[in-house]
Amino acid sequence: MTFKYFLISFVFISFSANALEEISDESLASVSGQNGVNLSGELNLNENGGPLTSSDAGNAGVWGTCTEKQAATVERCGARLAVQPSENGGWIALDEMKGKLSFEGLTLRSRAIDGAMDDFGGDEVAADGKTVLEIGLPDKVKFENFQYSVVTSSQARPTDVGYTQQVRHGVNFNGSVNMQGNLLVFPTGNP
Amino acid sequence: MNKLLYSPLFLMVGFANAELIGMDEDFLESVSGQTGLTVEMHKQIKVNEIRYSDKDGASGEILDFKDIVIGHPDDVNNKQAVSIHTIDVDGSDGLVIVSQYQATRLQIGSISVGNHRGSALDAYATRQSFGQIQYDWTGTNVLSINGKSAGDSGFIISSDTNITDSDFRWTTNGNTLQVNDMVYNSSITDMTLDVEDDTVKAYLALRMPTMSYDYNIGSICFSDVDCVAGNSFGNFAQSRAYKNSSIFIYGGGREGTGITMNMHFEFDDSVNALGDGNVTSYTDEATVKIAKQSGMVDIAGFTFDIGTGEAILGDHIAMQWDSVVGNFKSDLVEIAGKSVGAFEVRYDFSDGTHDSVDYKNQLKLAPGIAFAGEDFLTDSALVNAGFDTVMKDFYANVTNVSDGISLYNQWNMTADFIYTDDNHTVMADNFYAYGDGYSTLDIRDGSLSVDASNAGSDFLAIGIRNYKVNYGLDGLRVGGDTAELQNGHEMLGFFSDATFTLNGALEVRGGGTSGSGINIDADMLITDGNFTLTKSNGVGIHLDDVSYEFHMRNMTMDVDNDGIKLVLGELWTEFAANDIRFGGRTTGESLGGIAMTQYQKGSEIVISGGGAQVNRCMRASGVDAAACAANGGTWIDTIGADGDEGLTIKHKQILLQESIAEGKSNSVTYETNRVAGVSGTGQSIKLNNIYTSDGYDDATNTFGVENKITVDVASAGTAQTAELFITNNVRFKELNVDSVQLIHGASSTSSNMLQGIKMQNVDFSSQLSVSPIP
Repeated sequence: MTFKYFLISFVFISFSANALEEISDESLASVSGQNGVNLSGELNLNENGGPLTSSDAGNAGVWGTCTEKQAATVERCGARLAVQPSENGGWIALDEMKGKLSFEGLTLRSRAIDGAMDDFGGDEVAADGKTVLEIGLPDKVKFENFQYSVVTSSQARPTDVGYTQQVRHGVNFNGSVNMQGNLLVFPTGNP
Repeated sequence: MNKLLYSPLFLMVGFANAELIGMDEDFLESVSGQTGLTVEMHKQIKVNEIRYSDKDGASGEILDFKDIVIGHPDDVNNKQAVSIHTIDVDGSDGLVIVSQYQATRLQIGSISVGNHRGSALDAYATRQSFGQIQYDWTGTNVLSINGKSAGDSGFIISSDTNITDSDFRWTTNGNTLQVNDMVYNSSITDMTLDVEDDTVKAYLALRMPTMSYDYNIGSICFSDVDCVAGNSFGNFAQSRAYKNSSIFIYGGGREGTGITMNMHFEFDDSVNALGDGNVTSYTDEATVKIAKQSGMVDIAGFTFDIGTGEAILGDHIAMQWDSVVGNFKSDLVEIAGKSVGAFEVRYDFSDGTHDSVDYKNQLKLAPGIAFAGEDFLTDSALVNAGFDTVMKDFYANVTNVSDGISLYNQWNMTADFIYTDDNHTVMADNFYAYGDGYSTLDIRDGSLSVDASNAGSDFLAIGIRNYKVNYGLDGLRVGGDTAELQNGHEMLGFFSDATFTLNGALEVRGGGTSGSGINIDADMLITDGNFTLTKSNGVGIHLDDVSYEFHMRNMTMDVDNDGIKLVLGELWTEFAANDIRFGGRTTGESLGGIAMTQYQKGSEIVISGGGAQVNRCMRASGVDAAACAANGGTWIDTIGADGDEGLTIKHKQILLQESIAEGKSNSVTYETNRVAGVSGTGQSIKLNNIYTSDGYDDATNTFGVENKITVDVASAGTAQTAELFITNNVRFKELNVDSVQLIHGASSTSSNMLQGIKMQNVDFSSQLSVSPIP
């Protein structure tokens, strides 16, 4: 089962670089309700902290719950993603990632492009008959305390000996984004 | 399918009391002649051979049973078993026979078919048998046989049977399956027995207005002696009542002589008003219960023949069903005391044609192990995967005269599956499955295990050979049979369509992580696979030309207070999809290829009832449905009026660092720009050596990746409509990727794009309402 989730994620991630395509009202009117799925819901990252706790070996004062962080007894409660670009070099990290995102009306389905019905500013002619994964962007996306910092650090883990870090910039995002249109994912080039 | 197997068995069991018994002068001396007749029988019976033949010159063969002995379990060959029978005739009940069986053993030394039977000329040196059967029992039976009212022919029969202290043993090649401590009670009331004619054929008609049975199996294990907790599968029990059921038996099989039966069975669901009613349960440390069962099944054209000349099996027992149509419902599925909800399946097993191939529902059984001693070198799919040696080693442990069961199974079916959670339903619509393949079963000594640590544990060896499997479904309908079709099953791990060929070797033994349970070692290979990740509007996204090899060691299944718990001792896999296709399953445009490997130890899955158990406002705030709606949100209630039903799956994966010596690792590779689509000729990006750790070094690895999924059919909004509601929580302390590699072409030269990725302290949760696209 895990393999399958991984596969699906991989397909989505691999082709997120494809262009955002707007679909016309006419095309929308031609969409029938066969299959596909409409998703609404909430995503939470480290709402109350993560699984690293202040009682874990070596974590005292570093990792803990967000309540402990508010009380200034630990430094961090968010998630951390660090990459090392060069061998034996330093690390670039998205640090203290946490927050909540809610959305309504994200749709997923596969469908064939119809060159006569779809209107992509002329691109639909070349794409006629192609099967695409159509990701219908949610009407509204709401961010609550969605935050992270971009940091560089000397070691991978904040608990590693000799760890130092410099915060390059931080983001804290609250608000709503209205979206429309679809993201179409399809193969191109030599497989 | 259980019903199909059960039906002819039931017929046989119902008449077990009517055995042929010889009476000598000693027995006759014990006959008393007061009210009726009392007969005390001391039996020590030996029969060299019983043959059933449906040979008619054009078709058919012989099924024979050799070395049949009936006697006392203490010494079946030398000690008599005792039974006492009181025979009476009265005006209201007719002929009444009350039988009491003291400890008795029935032993069958060998069962074989047609050209597997060997020859007396070489003392049956080449005989292949299904194995030896031994059945011990103590019990009573009351049988009454009455005539019908004046002018009507036929009989009215009632029977009550109680069997205790019952054990069953199946032995192949000196190793034994034990079914211990069985208790069985059955009752048939006013069954009519007639010979009727449907204008085409005369047939024997049995009509059963009411009948019921219950049984309890104390333990099942593979052992020469009685089971103990450490090697037992656990306890099984069932209680069922039927009404208005019938069996019609015709002479003549599918080919010439044989037996044909039409059957109808209908649950008596009135018993469901009290307690669990019709119920099936499995108990380990805790219980899985499928209770309050109802439904019916019509079986048409079930035939029993002795077939000949099957390409792999040779002569065989052939069973086939024209159609099996019915429905089965359980209003209470409970795991360790927590309700999952209700479950229903409406099924139709009938002949069908797919890709110009006719599929029927048939089962062919032959004695012996069909693939014993083969090297599988002519199977290119196995050889290309390097799996031929696995199959060869598995079948090297038996010979062409070993006992066991070889079977061929072909099936074609459609079904709708309906799951009800707190009165809201989701239906998996138009599920279909068809396919065919061979398999073998025999019991082996623990020293023959693929894992040397199993030396003391005998096991059931299951070989799977070229099982060609096809299945799929249209999608989901939430809220009712006519609700709009939607996707969402993909999020639960179900493919929209799947086709693959399966080969493999399994070892199944008793004993779980704690006490009784099930323990499995498996080496399996999927080839020629095509899996549809998602489909809608008649087109989809597919994994094509898939091969998937997986190996499990010491996987245990237990049921305890947490639920159904699967613990993987060790797991390593290799998966490759040569093309990710958009459009047609094998013709759509390709995105390139993907390959993954897995290497885990100590991972586990726990399945339990309960679901999300939340009622809350989604995407807004509000204390109830009205307040939530007023604020623009949707009130989701998974608790409902009936309690906390739903499904919960917890998954923990401990990903190990690569073992270069053993060729095991966790990795993901995506390849594109290949030459003629051939794997290994293009450019690849590889996430190399993915592993988990506990967050402070690379050596401590106990937390892994924890994943909890809940599935509910929730009540949504002020209108309380049904909506599929899925929550997911993923937690890990540390997930590492040793390097991200770019691999160039056939030379396989690589460079590291990233020297490492480290993710820490992740707790990601999602709560999703899944509905049709408006």
